[in-house]
Amino acid sequence: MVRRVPVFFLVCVLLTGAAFSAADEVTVMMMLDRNIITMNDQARLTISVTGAKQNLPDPELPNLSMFDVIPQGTSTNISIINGEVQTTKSLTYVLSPRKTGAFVIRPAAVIIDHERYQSEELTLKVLDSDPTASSSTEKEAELSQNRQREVFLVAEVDKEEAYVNEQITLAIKFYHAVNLYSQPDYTPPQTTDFWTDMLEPQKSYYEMVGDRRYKVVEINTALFPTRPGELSIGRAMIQVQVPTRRRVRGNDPFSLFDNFFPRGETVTIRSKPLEVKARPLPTENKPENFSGTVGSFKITAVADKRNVDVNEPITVTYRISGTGNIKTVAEPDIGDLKDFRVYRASSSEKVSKINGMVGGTKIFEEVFIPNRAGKLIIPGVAFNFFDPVTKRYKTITTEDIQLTVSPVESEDYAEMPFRPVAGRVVDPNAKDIRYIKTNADLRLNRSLVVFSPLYLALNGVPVVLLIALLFLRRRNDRLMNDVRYARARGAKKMARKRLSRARQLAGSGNGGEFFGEIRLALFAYVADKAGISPHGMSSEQLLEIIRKAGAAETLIDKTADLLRQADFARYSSLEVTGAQMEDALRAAEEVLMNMEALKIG
Amino acid sequence: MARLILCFLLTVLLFSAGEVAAFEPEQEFARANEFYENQDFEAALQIYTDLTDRGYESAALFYNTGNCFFKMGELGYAVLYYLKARRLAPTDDDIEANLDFVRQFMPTRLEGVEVNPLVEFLNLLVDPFTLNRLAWIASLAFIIFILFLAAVVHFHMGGLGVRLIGYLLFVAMVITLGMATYKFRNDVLTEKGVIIATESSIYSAPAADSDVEFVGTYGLTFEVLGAADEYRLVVFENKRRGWIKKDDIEII
Repeated sequence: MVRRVPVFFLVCVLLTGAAFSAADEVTVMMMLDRNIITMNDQARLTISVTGAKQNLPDPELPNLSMFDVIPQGTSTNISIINGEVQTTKSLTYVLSPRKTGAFVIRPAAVIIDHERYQSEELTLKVLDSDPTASSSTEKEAELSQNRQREVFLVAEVDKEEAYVNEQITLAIKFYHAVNLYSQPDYTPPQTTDFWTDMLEPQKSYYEMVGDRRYKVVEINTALFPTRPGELSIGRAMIQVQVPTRRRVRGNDPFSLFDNFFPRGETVTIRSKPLEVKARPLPTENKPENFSGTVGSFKITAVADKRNVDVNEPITVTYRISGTGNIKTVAEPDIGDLKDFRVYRASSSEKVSKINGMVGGTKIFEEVFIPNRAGKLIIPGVAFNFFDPVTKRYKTITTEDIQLTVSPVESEDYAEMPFRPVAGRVVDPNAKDIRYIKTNADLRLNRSLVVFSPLYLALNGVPVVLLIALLFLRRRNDRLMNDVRYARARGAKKMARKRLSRARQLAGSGNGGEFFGEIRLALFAYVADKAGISPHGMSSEQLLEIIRKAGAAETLIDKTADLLRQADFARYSSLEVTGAQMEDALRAAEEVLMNMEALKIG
Repeated sequence: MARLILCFLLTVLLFSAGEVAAFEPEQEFARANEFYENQDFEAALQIYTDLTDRGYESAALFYNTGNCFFKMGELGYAVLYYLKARRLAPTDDDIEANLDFVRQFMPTRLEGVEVNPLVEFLNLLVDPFTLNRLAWIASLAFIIFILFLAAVVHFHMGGLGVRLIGYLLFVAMVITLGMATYKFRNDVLTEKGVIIATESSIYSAPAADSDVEFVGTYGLTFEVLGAADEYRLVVFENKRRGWIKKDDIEII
């Protein structure tokens, strides 16, 4: 037993040490969801840093130049177990390969407290084509593959060829024949060569595939190619929890309960990547100032008024509406107009998605301010676009806007550099600004009064006064109600009075009374401070009180001497000299002064 | 005796020199006014801006500077200086009239300005005062309240009347302090500015190749929210915001 105790302690110490070192340890882990992918595929890389610190730094990323890296976000998980804080910071990236080969991903590292911690290195193999991919070109073949599956994802485009900036509709269809245990986590496909616009809302319907009925959730996205060429649409991905497939456990009578406690497993499904061909816009008959708009549009121009005065603004609203990528519709080119000053007032756009087609209206408001009177014309504005249906460029023009501009009748503004804008005249009688002021009232850098010392002092003094009065009142209240406190506060004053009286007695040569007053001064002082009665207090008790209050031995001795001297003088018949009284008075003053530093009571 | 006379003379000389120095800016101001009267606005403006550069300021100085700018056709600067003048003399009728007058000439105005009724009410309360005056009023209310408390403490005052007066003084103090704080926020903590360029694009990002949200013209006022290199993030009264080139604006 005796031998076991040290062993037990040793084990405890070792375990505790191990626990502490584990808590302080930082681990960096790097994981890939797959080790082999194809060129059209993506891999998910997760880097986790775990440590006892609450604020873990971001890890240094390894060189990932052979991939397109899309950050997916950071998550932090803090757990407190038995008072130990454990933080895990995870950063997730989606890697899209740029070329085939086996790539080594060097360790990710983090530096904490000058210590470097790093993960293991990983290898990701990128193949040219998906070995599991079906070579069949038909959707049916793909569906027949999926027929036996409970969930699968299909990606389709409405056309495989389109012009640059022409809409292609991508449909991602999520088929599931079982109940889902979690909300599907959807990652859209990578579409780097397209403008995208989600076509909402998502559709939900049932479809028979073979003899199985699936619920289909369809997400449609409008894609507009940004460049000509073979463009790829990556894989869409969904993570979802579905019921686990269970084997029938033979004659196990408890297999009955399996359906009562269904279990789920998380599955990740991906669509196949797609390729579309984006045709360049024809160069033939291309208008000079063509801005790249593709679709079918119309344009109108409406002026808010046609009869105006010189300098009165006219707002012309240009409204371009139709089907196509409305966001890329550029402002109509008005050009330089010598009769007008032109300002852009505002522009707005309203995107609409009707029957799966993106379109809408873009409104430009331009302000025209006529410089001169007369019959003026705001010329029509030409707007051109490429119509992918007729495969031709079209130029449409608004009608000219004819204006009648009247001269400003009044000559009151003749001297002014500007003319007032009609409709904004506040006071028709005011024809000029008011005259200058003659009273200068100049001051050097007017500073804010709130920062001036005078202001701060003026506001501070009453506050100080109030605090002082509050303190005084509290003190007076205590002196009135707390006798012990009042005695302690008045002890010094009383002692001084008594010493003063003793000084008078010393002058009259009355030694007995002199020492009586000295003795009383000491006893009354200590008793008042200690909150006890001086009557019946002995010299020993006094010395004990000051000893307990922390008096130094020299003070105690000096006090004892003084008391002895006083007793001797009071009760002996020997005459006390003036010099002795003078010494005693000085000693009493010194003793009382030293006692003032003690915390008696 | 001779020394005494010398001292006296020196003192007189020093005081008179001080007085000359004190009158100098006033005289320059008067000279600028003469230039203005003779329609030499450029010369008048030169003196007014020189006084401003030397650290002098007053509502009259800014107002007259605004007038010069207007006469010279610089409407953005005119608005800027009238707003500076209004900050020092918020109840001055001439400043308000000229500001309204100049705004008649601004080619664009902000559409869709929605005024919060609470903000409008607060502005109505604080607009007639300068910040310094409001600070003094708040200070007075504060001192009276504190002195009242001191009297209550010292003289052991009590009763319903005393309590009622205390509440009234407290409410007065809170209201005036609130007004002063609101004015301080508006005038000191909030940076406001005016477009002085004839036309200035408001961008979606602090870069010339970013989208132009809209185009502002001289005289439009805004609040500055942030800065990045050569651009300032501003919000206009109609809540439209964007980045504007700092050379196109002036801070009030």
